Amino acid sequence: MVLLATLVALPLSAESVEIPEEDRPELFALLLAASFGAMLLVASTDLVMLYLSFEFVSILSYVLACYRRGSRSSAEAGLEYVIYGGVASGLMVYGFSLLCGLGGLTCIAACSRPPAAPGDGFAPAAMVGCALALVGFGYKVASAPFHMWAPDVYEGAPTPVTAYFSVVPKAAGFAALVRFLFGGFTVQDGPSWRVFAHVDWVPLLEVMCVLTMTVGNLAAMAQRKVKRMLAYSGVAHAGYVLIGVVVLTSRGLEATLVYLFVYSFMNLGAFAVVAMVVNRTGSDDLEAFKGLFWRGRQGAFVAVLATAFFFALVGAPPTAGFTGKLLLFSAAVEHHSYGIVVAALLNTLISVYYYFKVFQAMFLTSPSTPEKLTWSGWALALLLVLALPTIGFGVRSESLIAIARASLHLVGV
Amino acid sequence: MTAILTNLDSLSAFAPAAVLALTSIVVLVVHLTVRGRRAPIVAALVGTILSLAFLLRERRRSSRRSSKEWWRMTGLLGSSK
Repeated sequence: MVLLATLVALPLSAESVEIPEEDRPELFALLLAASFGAMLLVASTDLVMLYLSFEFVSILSYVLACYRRGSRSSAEAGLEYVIYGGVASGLMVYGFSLLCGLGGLTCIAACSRPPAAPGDGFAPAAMVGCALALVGFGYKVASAPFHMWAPDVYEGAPTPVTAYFSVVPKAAGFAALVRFLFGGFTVQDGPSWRVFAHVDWVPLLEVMCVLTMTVGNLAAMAQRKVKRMLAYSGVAHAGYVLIGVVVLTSRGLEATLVYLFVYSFMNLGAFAVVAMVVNRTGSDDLEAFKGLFWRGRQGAFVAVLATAFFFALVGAPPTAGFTGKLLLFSAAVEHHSYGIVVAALLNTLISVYYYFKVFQAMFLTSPSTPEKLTWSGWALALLLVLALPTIGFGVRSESLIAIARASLHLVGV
Repeated sequence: MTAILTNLDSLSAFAPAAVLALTSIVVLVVHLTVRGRRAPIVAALVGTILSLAFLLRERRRSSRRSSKEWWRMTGLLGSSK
């Protein structure tokens, strides 16, 4: 997923009008270095290594967020990212230090195992350590209530960088979260996991999950800028992904991986459309999408593919988004987490409203100018490459589930 | 480097990441030395694809290894010793 997002963000940045040509090579280097950090974050088995790679990705992300030189909103995005990132990182490292102190080792697997004779303060200290670490992970995956940075940073950063932010830190953050929680705070019991009695993190994550879905979707409804709308939609999707983590089963973890994988394609596709519209119209406002379908053959092509990406983000059949949501919801039903399923279904219904607003602008309104829109061949090809798995994995999902099953070891479970 | 390698899940995870890190340096070197605006993006894309190739090769190796282990468990394949 990290490499896929990098492969999409690189060509998008190469043609972006938001980034001056002389600044692009450094941007490529920064994107590659951030991906390096994200790959280390996914593979870390030690709290110190995890924290260092977390910071590596964060610091490069701060630079990437303010890469639009001379733009006030980009500078604001960078500063906001630094402030939120600094606070989250500080709390996270404090949590890690508590866990290291309790376990006596920096290894994730040893950080919360109770010693032979735990003192009275062991359980609350381990719980506080875990909760503080969750603040850091929550910030990385943009889950509520640690999502405040996301809309402003996504809006201020150059669109290809936003596409990158919407996938790489999120995917790496989720992989690290699964490794941290399942490696350090649970015991495998057949196809499911049991949490340690002294650190019951599941209720915390359940609250985060429902809050994230609801806050993300409700806030997205009010947006007029498509980039900002997709930022809130990304927050909501972090909530959906958390469903697979809180159910504590192999099915849930498989569903999490499947959803993250398909989310990468559909979200990168949606952001690629926004980047292409911004390159031609100079705006990501809903106005810029008006009558896109009627603005020449290429406009129609982009509008149709955009619809496929938005359908997938809603979770409508026969797209890969439907497969992902179906797996997540069925894992939750299997675990008897009916409350979470009802909340997720209601949130999916809410999301139809704001995705339909973009659909309506593209197809059901006349363009503000009759000028036909054109893009380079490779940009259209890139969009098609992203659309094929978005639809294809919805029709043939067995291979996707097999990949997810085989990839569980990548997150240490 | 030793600290990084010992604290990762597997060494195979490091190879693709290392390719990306090297590519980021190569992109800057290409930018400073080679004329032509396409050169840095080509270098970046080649490096990322190379990293992906490394990742897929490691994945195939590990799946081949696990299938061999499975056959060994069934007793149909002799022990490696």
